[in-house]
Amino acid sequence: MTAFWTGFRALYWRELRQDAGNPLAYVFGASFVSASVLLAFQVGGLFEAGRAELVAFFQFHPWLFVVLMPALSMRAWSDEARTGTLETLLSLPVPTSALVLAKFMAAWTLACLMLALTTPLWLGLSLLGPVDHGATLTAYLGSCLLAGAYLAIGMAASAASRSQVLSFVLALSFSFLATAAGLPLVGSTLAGFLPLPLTEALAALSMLDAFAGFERGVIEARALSYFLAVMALGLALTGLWVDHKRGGQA
Amino acid sequence: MLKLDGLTKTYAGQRGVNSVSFEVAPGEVVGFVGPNGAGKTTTLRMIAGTLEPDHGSVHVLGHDMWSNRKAAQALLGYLPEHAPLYEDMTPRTYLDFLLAARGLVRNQRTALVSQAAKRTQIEDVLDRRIESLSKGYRRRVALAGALAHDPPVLILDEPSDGLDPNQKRVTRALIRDLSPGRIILISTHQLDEVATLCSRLILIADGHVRADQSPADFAAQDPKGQIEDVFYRLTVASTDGPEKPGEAHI
Repeated sequence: MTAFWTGFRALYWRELRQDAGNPLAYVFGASFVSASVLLAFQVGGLFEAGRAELVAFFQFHPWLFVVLMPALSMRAWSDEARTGTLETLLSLPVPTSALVLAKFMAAWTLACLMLALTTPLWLGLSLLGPVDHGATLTAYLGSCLLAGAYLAIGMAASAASRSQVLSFVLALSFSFLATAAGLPLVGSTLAGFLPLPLTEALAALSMLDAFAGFERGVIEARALSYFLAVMALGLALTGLWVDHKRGGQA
Repeated sequence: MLKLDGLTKTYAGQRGVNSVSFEVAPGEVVGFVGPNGAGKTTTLRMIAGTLEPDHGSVHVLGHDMWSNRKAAQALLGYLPEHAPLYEDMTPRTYLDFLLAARGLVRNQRTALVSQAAKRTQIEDVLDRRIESLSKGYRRRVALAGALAHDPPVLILDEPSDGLDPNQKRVTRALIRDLSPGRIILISTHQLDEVATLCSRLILIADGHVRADQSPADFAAQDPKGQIEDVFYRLTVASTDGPEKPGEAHI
């Protein structure tokens, strides 16, 4: 096996084991499941809609992820820099890209496991009426991609600072901007002082816009490319930040 | 051969390390000494490949650190300053992780973990969480991490810092045992350690190499043969100088 894969595999499993032994991971999982289900029933009116579909459940995922994914990723690099273990990692004969990808994939695995914990809702609903399983599966796929995009932003923020709190605030701010840009209220406000094409472009770059198709059970190439591009950009920035540290910068 | 040629690193316009050059042959144990902020850790980090020099090169047994980093780092064992460790792991899982990242298979890893644990006398705490270990044990776990893969080149940043006199004795004996055929570079503040353990002393101050000779020849510069007095005379201009930015951590 190449240095990339041996390094990737070792760090990926280390990160997953660390999360498995960390009570915070369980708190995040429980918070996500309870908040998403509660919002679906209390705010989204899942039962009141009278249809066996989970749109009311998925529509809140972007807003939940805006908070949860930065919390899940804030420690990834900032803790390594703060405790000095980054020095150990960088001294291994492993490419930076393998380290970056391993940390991201471990966090993404955890996020997808959190999502998997909500599948009883899907199964329960299918007992009450005919559920479009294909559409629901697509929405889950979209939710996974959405979580990955927010995590990639969080990883870049974590690599940029030694402080977990600052990493969290940075990731939260960027994630919120990337989400809120798609809200009509924000669009109309921005249109007041920005040119219309720019306002429309910002709205089109919103996570909400990209997730909308998946919510309805449609896989759009544009949305898929968008999520993959955000992940690639986030991970590239993370790699640059980590290599920047190797260059001797704070 | 470990070869440093014109190694230079500048922090915020200040020269942290200024054109440091020396060679270390297999079998040599070199004590790398100097006052705080002299550039010892910066130099060691550049040798370990965790910090990129502005100018100059590091060759580890013929491999250039910056054009062939993976090959050079595969030959190195590095104990970073302050011996950073993953608190949530046990020494066994920590050593196994480092060896797995270096591409060693399970059988090899099991044998090497046992060997490193025996050498550093941490066998009795192998399955305890690192966060619960005393400073002396933690230092030895970090040392075990540096030598677990049996590297031909060992770079140790203050290996006996925080150890009690008995543990220091054991660590020095271990380094002596490891030295035949190996290149060992030790950064230390303990001049008695250099006098008893090292075959050669390199003194760095203000980023410049000020002396490179045997500890006996170094001490002979003082009429009473006091190694501390020679150290004081050669470094007094930079003693108590400000710590250079980036000297402490990534």
